[in-house]
Amino acid sequence: MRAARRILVVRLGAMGDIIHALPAVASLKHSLPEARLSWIVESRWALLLAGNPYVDEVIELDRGRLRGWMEAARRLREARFDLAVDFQGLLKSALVASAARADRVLGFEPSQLRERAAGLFYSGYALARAAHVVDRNLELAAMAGAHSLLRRFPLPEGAPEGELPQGPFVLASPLAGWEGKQWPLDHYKLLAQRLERELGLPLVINGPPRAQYDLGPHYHASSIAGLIHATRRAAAVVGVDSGPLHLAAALGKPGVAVYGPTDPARNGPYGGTITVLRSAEAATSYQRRGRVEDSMRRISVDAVFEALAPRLAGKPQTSLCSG
Amino acid sequence: MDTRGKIVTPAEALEVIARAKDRGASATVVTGYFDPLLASHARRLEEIATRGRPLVVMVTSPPDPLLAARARAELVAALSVVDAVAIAEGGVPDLAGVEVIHEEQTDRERTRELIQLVKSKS
Repeated sequence: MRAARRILVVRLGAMGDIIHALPAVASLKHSLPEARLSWIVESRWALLLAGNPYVDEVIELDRGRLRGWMEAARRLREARFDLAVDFQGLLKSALVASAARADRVLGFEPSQLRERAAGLFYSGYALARAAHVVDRNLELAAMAGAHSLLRRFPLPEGAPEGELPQGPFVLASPLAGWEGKQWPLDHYKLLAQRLERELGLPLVINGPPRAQYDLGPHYHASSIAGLIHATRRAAAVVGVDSGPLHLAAALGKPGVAVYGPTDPARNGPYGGTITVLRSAEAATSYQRRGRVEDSMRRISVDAVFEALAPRLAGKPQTSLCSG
Repeated sequence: MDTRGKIVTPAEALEVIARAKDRGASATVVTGYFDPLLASHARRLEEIATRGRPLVVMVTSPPDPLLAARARAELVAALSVVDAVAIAEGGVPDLAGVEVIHEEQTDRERTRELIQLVKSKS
């Protein structure tokens, strides 16, 4: 098969999923350096791809506006892609890949798709065998022509926003896409007290500018650029299965993650610098419940502190899961 | 799981239907009000669905619906047997050569029976 000259990557959102596709896309471009690689992404996440040396062009999709969609469709058609790779596997992403009218459209095997009909738009499939999403994406990249796989997460530097402590601090990002994945918000206050008392470290709570929560004195509201900067500066992180945690894992930060309804083997922080705490009774469901799951509540403040403290002292990680 | 991603525009639904045709797996199209979605709808769609053939639902609107079209579409999209849902407020697009099952007439009956049932309970 002729090597692709113009490649379209489709992964429209969200933060964690885009981060999990970074190694696959880096591998594609690294293996096919002559090809021009474009990535179509929702405008709100485009900053994650800023300065990415493996992405030649970022096409922003403003899904809220019909004009945004028409404009993106026009750019896709004009670019004359010969290969489109849909890492998302949804009907909407497959439709975007299809709008590019590429000669080949690759995606995951229909049985592995959340929305079966997306498979109608693919000309070839990758049957993923790995557990973790990062590795599954690498399998799709390999099928698309990546012969050497890079486990690299190129991310922008970010930019300072708002107030951060002068000295070292721990950064927590308590909000997730759905409440079922969150750890109770009042637990962060108790954790902050223990960190301050026993280690003299402030716990900075990060969230988006419009979050309406009482999250204590060190609330750091920021955009993505501010979050990246704060994460780079943090001594360690505390998080749940959401974009900011995957960002921290990609940057190689130490820390602790509390998991419940989602499976760390598949959606865990990649790279092994972050310790995962998950109740032995947690059932993997991926059901988007609008309240904190009991399995998340079962992870105590003390358990998180005990897992976090050795990471701050620079001791190696000893266990991956706890009951 | 968020199933709202199965809701597409009528033009995109036509794309899905065209792609299925290219694959030699002609889509089944069902049009109806689903106002609101009832157990009988779920059973009916299960009956209609054929393995390997995508099931596309076009949600149309009666003159004075109980629920907004978007709400009705979200309920239909939650059924695992359904592959794609489009809100066809302006009428169902031309679907020559595709099997289309119209449920509107039965839906008028379903809604009427539901309203009677609610009245008898109140």
